[in-house]
Amino acid sequence: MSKQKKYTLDFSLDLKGMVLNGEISQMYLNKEVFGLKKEFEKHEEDCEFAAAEDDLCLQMLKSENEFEMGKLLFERFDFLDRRQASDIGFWNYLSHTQLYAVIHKLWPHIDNPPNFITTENYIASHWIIDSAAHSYLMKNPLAGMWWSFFLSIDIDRKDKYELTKIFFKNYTFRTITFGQAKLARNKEAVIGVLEFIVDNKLHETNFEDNGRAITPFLNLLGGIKPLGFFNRDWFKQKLTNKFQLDIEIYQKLFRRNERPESSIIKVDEDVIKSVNNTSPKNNKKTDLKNPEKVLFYLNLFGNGDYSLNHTIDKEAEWNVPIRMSQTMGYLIQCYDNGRVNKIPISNLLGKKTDKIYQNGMSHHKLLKIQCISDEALLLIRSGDRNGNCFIKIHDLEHVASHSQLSLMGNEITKMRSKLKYQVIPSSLKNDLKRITFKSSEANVVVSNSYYNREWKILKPFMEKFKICQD
Amino acid sequence: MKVNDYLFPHPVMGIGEGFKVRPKVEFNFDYIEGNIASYKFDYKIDINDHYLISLLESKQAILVAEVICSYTIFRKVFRSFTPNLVFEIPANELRSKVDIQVMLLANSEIANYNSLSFSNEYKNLSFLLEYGDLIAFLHEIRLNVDMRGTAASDFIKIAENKVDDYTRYDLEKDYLILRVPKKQLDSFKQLRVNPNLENILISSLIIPALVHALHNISEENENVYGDKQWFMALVDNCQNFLGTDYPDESEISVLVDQILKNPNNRLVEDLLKFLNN
Repeated sequence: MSKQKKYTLDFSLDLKGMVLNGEISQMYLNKEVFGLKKEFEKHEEDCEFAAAEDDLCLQMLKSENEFEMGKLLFERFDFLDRRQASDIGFWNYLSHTQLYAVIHKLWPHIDNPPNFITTENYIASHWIIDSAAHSYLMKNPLAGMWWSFFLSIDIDRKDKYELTKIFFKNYTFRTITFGQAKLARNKEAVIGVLEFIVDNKLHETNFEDNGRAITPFLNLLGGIKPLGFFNRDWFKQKLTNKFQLDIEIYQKLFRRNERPESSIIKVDEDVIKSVNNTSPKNNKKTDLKNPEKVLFYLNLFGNGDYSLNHTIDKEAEWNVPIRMSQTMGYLIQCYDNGRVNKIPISNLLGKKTDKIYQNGMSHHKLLKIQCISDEALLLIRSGDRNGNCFIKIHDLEHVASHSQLSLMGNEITKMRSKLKYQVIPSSLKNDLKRITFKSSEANVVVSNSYYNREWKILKPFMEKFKICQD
Repeated sequence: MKVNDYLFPHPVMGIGEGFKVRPKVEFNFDYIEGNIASYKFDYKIDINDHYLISLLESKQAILVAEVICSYTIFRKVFRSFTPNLVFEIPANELRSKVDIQVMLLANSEIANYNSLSFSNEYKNLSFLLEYGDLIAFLHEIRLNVDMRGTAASDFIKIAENKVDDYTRYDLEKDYLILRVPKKQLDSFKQLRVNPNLENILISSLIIPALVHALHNISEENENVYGDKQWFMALVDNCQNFLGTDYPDESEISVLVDQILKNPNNRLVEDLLKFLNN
């Protein structure tokens, strides 16, 4: 049986440079075969083990999801030792030969390169790994899948992949916020964290936000204790002690500065106040049972000052109603630099009414500010000089929540021209998943008839809010 | 785990001034060849405090070595209830940079933790330690299990610049590569066989390259170059000669002198010889 091939280390280090200077990027556009596969044979050398079967790629392409794909890859190469699995020449070889088409399936937007990321950078990010450091291994599509299985497989379970399935449910958690953390090098920590997530169903909603709360807390403990010393039960116990109350009250986790300390009590006090106030217009008391009733207005001024008031301040540039139904929701700030800041409403409810606060927005131009009662979708429209209109949907569940109104937030689109944002219901999530992208680079041109089904669904919103009209 | 004496609410031996005594550590590291090659780590610790030794003997404390290797996503702990800790790790589990910390930890809750070796400000105080709390920080080391050597000749190469006609320094490979135009490279190959010209070549070619590379040795660049042999060799040299991981800008010339063993002095001596001959 022939030996598995890999690229030499020196060539692997040269490859990224060749792509970034544009020498060979065109050779990646064919989605089935890499254009320089033959020419690169002179940079190959043998691994110590047998080659993968020819049908591995086909099987992976037929997989329904990344977990199934990763399982095929891991089971084919489950004998790799750590040194072999961190060999960048091996992963680069697979990405350019046997599993080249798999990368195209995982990262399909090479044909529609985003305006602010070049094709070369897109290729370099997904096809090439040029360091064996932990973070690079987790970020690389193939190496990241293999290592995710390696770190989370638990052979003592009835289903040894039970926790791996959870790990694969959120890409950001797996490959960045938790996957790249130093504590993820400890298998007991990985198992303990995943068990905690499963036991408390934290993967079912707000997985990304919940993940973002876990890692900093454990890193804090790691500052004074050697985390490698502890077993999975210790990690679960620490997480339970820390977050049990959050789970019981809010069904989600909070990072340190986000936790609404006593805002539930505050809401009650302010609600009581508003009950005791009579409305000057109709002399009726506020109806507590009406979820659409406005609790306060967030009045945001052009200089960034803001206040919470029971009435609209006409001097303010933005008057944002905060309703009863939204107290557990979020305030969304959408900027002209493609960034969106998401703040839990509970953070605001702790503030005093009728007091002027500063730093109510970042220094970029605010295009939209709105409260939502729960996770929703964000429709983002952009344009180019040729008059094309681009659309993407971004699931606000994947935007991390922050504690301050003045923060820039997450970059959800790299487009800057003719930006418009519109919140649409999360009930459309399934229907719009083909144009829902986590990547800030991706979007779809409205004239693309392949997505006619989606345009039909979006038509009422596009017309009502004049989305593609300038 | 980064340690400093601000982090702990109780005295920790080996950190700050909480203890009047310090531990003594003997450490050996070997590569063991065989069917399955491995690295052997051998620690002999003199804890130097009867109370802490008694905690270890009664298993209320435990000696622990935590080994971390970023390049194989490896993190493992080795344990002992005696002051000697010997363990082996298969060579195929590690690559390049390996960090080791050796500590004495609480193996159970310890009420009334108090030692006669506490410094005066803690003398009459006792503390409650919980499972896993740090009692003594004994040793910390960073090794490169793949490193070929730290002399300049181990990590500097000269190669052709195929792009333009200037001398350029390539930091992207394992070696620090001086890329020179083909004509210069051919001349260099002729010149370097003459031992009388060695110091001139070092001064004109190697010193500028080394200075350039040392300006890139920093914590910020750890993520960019940390896995390169030249980076690790220079960090190793910095630790040996300056006692720090990364040189201050003002210390770069000193470090160059140390690594190349006073090259300017040798250059001047050679030039004087030429002058006088």
